[in-house]
Amino acid sequence: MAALAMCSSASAAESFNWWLPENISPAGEEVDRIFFVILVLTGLTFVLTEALLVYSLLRFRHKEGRKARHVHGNHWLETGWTAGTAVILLFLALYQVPAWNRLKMTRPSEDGAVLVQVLAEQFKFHFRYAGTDGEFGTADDVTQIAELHVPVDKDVILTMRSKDVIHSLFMPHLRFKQDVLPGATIESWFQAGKTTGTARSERDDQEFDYEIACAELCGNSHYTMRGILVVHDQSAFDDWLAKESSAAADYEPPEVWQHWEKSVARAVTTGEEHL
Amino acid sequence: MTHKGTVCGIVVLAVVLGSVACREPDDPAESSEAAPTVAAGDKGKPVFPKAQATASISGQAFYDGEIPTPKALRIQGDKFCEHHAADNPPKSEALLVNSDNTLRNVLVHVTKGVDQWQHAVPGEPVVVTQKNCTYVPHVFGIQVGQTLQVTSADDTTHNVHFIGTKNREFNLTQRQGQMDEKRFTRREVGTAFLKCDVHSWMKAHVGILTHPFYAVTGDGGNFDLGGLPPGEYEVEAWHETLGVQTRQVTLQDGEAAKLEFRFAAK
Repeated sequence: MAALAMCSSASAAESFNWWLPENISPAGEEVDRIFFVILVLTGLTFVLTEALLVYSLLRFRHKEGRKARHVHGNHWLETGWTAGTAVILLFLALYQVPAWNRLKMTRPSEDGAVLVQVLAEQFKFHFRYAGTDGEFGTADDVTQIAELHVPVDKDVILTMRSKDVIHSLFMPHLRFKQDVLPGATIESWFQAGKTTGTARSERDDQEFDYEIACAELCGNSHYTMRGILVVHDQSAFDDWLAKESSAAADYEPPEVWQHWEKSVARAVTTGEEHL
Repeated sequence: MTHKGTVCGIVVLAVVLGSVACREPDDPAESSEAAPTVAAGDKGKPVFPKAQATASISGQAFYDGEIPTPKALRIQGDKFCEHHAADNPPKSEALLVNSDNTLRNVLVHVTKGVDQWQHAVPGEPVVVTQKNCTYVPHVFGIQVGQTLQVTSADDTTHNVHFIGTKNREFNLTQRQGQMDEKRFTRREVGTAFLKCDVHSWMKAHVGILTHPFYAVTGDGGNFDLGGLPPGEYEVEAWHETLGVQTRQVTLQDGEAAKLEFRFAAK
């Protein structure tokens, strides 16, 4: 319980962070705290059960003349560990509710937020921005393959669909992971708290990028869904969006986005769920 | 038979039945066997009468409209492809119009009038190369039973994914220098294509024919379908974005028919 108490403070969670990618999301502390609480509980259970196993192996090892005794079970012992497990799971279920409510159920306002459409397909994540006119589905839409650009410290609202199978957009530095399901539109959101430039300077590594991965095995080239998250300061993001938006007409609109238009139109007629 | 023997018998039977059940009885894309000289569907038909092929069909495809400037493809997500696209990004080949308004990448082929004959399957393969993260060629024809050779010249991983409605799908991962061979079993035009799952901008269209009377237009929008016996034929021109046009042609002995396909801008 002391370990649990220690883990439940944000600073303690940070101090445990040496093995995880740096957290650059305001939501990350809560995610890490829950992660460490679960880690401590499962870690203690693991150590305890392994210790019992090793003890039993040694204590009851073969001895000449000693016969094995058949045991039908211990009612109180079984009730105890079942109830104990149930209490732990119930604790976890309740413990994470406030965090789930804050991170997943409280949609930020679109005012001032960056809206991005995400289309997952075997085997790339595609991102689309409304461009400078603020309207999706127009000629100045900015399309990106495997590169998500966002401004620092701003709400980013993702509207996500899958073209084929279940994918999962995973950005470890944001502690963000969201499944993308075919036949459903899923919204999710985040804030990135440190620019890529700052992260590169701190690491003295100009090649560093925040990573995007697919966290759901989606086929034989699943690994090629890797992408990068580029976090700009606001002015650099505005410049990037304006430049890409003005250059959008020079590029052939990626064919994959035709699927988005068709599937969204179909979703309206079939009453598909918006999650 | 002992109990042990019965169990062994069941296991052996299960393995044999399993191996039989798992075999692909008619794998259209299989290439391990020797290439056929005649497509399976042509067996029993009379051989194409070459000596009577005194007539011919050729012509041009045109684009009626302002010549479009091909747009660049969005190349991202692969360092190799990005590097090669940095200075000169590959352009979309979905609508390529020559300076004289003739149209490229039109697959012109005979749709009626030649199916009563047996046509030899060419021994030489059709070669498709993945170069600088594009397919070369972008549109091509191939005969049923003919070998398709797919190679990669790129120092990155490609994924050759064939999708059609009448031929079996196949999906190959390729590294630089790798070569794979496949063959098709059914006629299919307009619905069959190769795509790279790793590089979503890569696509090539395949016209699978049961005979050799086809061509893909290039410089000058020209096509030449070769020698045919006198008779009535239907010729189709297919373009990936502009659609399909057909022409009826009656060939007299020794006639060299000229066709013109004009595709309106969309």
